[in-house]
Amino acid sequence: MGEADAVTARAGDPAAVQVRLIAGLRERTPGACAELYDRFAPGIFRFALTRLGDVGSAEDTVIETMADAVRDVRRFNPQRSSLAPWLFGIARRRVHLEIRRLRRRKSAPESAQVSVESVLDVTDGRDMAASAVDRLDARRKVAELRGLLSDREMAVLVLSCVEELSAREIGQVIGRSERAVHSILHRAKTKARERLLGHERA
Amino acid sequence: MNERDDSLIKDVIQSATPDLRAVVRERALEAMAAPRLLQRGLRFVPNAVGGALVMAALLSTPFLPVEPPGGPQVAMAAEQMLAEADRADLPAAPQTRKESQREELPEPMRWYAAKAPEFVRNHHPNDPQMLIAAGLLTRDVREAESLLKAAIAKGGAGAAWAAYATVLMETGPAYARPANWAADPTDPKSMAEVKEELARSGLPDSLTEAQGAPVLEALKRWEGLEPGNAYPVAMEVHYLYGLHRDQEALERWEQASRMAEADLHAQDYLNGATRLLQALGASGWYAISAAYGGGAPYLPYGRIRDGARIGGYEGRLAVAEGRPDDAVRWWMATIRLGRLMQESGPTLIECLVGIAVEGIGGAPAWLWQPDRMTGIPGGPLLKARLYHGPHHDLFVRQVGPLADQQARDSLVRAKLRSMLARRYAERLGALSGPMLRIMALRTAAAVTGAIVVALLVVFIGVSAFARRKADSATMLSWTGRAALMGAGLVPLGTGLVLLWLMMVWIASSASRASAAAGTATFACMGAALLIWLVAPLIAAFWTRRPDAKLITAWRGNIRRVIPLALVSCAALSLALGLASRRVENVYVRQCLSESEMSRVVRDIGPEWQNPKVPPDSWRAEPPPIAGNR
Repeated sequence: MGEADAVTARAGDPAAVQVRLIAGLRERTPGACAELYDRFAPGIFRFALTRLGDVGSAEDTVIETMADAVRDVRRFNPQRSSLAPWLFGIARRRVHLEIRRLRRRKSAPESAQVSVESVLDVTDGRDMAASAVDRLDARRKVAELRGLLSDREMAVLVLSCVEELSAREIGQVIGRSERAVHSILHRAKTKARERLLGHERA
Repeated sequence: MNERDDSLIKDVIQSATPDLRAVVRERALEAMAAPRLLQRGLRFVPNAVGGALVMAALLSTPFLPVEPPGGPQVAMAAEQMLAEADRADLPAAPQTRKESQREELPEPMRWYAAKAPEFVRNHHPNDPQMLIAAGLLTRDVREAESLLKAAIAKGGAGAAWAAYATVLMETGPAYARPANWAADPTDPKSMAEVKEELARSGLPDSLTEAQGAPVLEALKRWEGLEPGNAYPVAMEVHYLYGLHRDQEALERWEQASRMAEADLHAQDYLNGATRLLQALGASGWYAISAAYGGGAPYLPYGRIRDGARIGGYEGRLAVAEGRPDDAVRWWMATIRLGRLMQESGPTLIECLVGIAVEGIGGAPAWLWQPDRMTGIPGGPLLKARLYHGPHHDLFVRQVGPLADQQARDSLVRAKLRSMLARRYAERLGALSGPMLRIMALRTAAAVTGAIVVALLVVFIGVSAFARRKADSATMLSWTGRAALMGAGLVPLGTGLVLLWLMMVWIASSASRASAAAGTATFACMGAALLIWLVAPLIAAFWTRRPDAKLITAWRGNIRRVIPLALVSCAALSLALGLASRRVENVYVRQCLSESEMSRVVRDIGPEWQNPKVPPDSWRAEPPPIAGNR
């Protein structure tokens, strides 16, 4: 499943699908885990990667988030939130742990950590010349945004603009009110627009 | 701000994100397919074990009393009570209840006393010790009679008659003559005071034949079974004197003093009561304490002291009336009986009462020397009668100054033994060996149990609101948790070690160690609690998530550290409690296999057999016989 499909599936995430998916996970129905992964893993990966900046760590985060979700699916309360905020909440906690682990491990600044392997990551082994330039440019911009925005602003920005969660759902993920999310989102978008438009002008 | 901006941001982020690799999907599905039960179990088991430990510690701690038990302390208190009863200004004797009702027991013992008769009849109907113990515990005289009759039938005749006589003494009528209240017949002022007190008390100055008959009959039956036992004969004196059969009382008193042994069967009762209380569900610690304390029959000792007071009074009266032979007979019999009690008694109280009895008879015998008896008819002959008369066997066969010195030495030694026993009972070291260790272990268990309660309160407090937020506000690792928990265990462990040292080592030679131990323990306990509260706050500076408040991260850290501390303290409390139980069982077995007196003599050491008589003081002063007129 590609990213577009995933976004479409998530965007059209009707309550019935969610109920079926949760029931499938609880009953350990064959295919339920795969469906959960296919629906939500790309978004979680994006979310983790924008926060962590490291593909390997983001992939680990996806795996751990999925495992946690399946293990704790009985704790999921549909009255409190829908499935996406719940999963992003788990992912957010995992990302925090990963950030802490990376901080302990890191010895060089992030800007100096673009390795040959990371170039291979971003190019997916195809069209080295075109893809690599675009991807590396995008990653540089994201890294700049990460440096510019606070962790919470970055999370809100990704969840809102990319994952298209509502303010209420984002509030459930980060533990803030809807009004506070709007405020954070406004600040984040302002900062991001200035930086990205500045790049375009340049 | 518009949709174009959103689209720009979305494009940048999506462009920066590669597709997830297939291998990630495989790994994720593998992780998701891991057995859920195992995962849940791994999470549930530690919580369940920890919760069970905490609950067990909380439930068991209240059943671990830490107060010192009976034994020597109780014996000293009883002896003190008996000694105070010698004074004339005390209120009336306690025998003022209805005949069918004995004196009430202290509260925890009432339940056992109420349950004991039926329990023994149903479960131990052939055990004389148990039957006697139940008979002495129950407050109903008819019930006691029935149980003691059963004990006689099952082979405990001597002890059962002793117990039955005790019950009859408790419920029987009372009387008081000046001698019973330790008046001095040679001192008109003392006599006037005592007579006034007697008139105020309303007690009769004699018993009727019908009143004295039941006890005398029981004592006769006991004497018939054990003709060599001094107690039944000596206890008759109180009742014969109440019947104004004074000469007969003197003869019985003398007869008792010449017996080979004095056995009140106290050890039978103590062993039976200990086993009975344990069988009824009491801990060994409480069973020992209650057997020696709450329900122990001390009245027979009171009757013997009463006999000694009568001996002292009648001896003085005989001297005053010019009957020195009678005086010598009273005093010698009293001294001899006191010594017999000291040598024969299995309990400390018997030994202490023996010392007192020897003093009551020995003080006037020593004080009334010929050189102090100028003007008293027959006085000059008294010393000769003391040391050369038919009773010279009391002292060494030599006469003169050496005999005088040895008489004084004997009294001084008795007094010194009394002081040794008192000192032994007053210090914590009196609980030497297992008892002291039990106390230390129980105190330690109670202290850690208290910490468990305190930690539980703190944990509930920090978890009362927004606990998930607190949990997600910190990133304290397992290593950090263990380090913070260990930091609190250090002062706690130090406190427990100090407690042990003070209660087991230092307490053996000090009476105030418990206060120091308590202070040190509570200081260390406070330090441990403080560390478990403050260290998470300090750690929160490093472990909190960037977007979390410090106070929330602090709560999160507390929620992660305190469960570990709770489980550690609960496990420690339980282990200490179980260890005390184990030592307690050893102690109970020891108590059941040997007499209290042998333990006391062993603990005090060789000084008991040969107390150091001060080289000079006794020569210049009369023997120290406080409390005995």
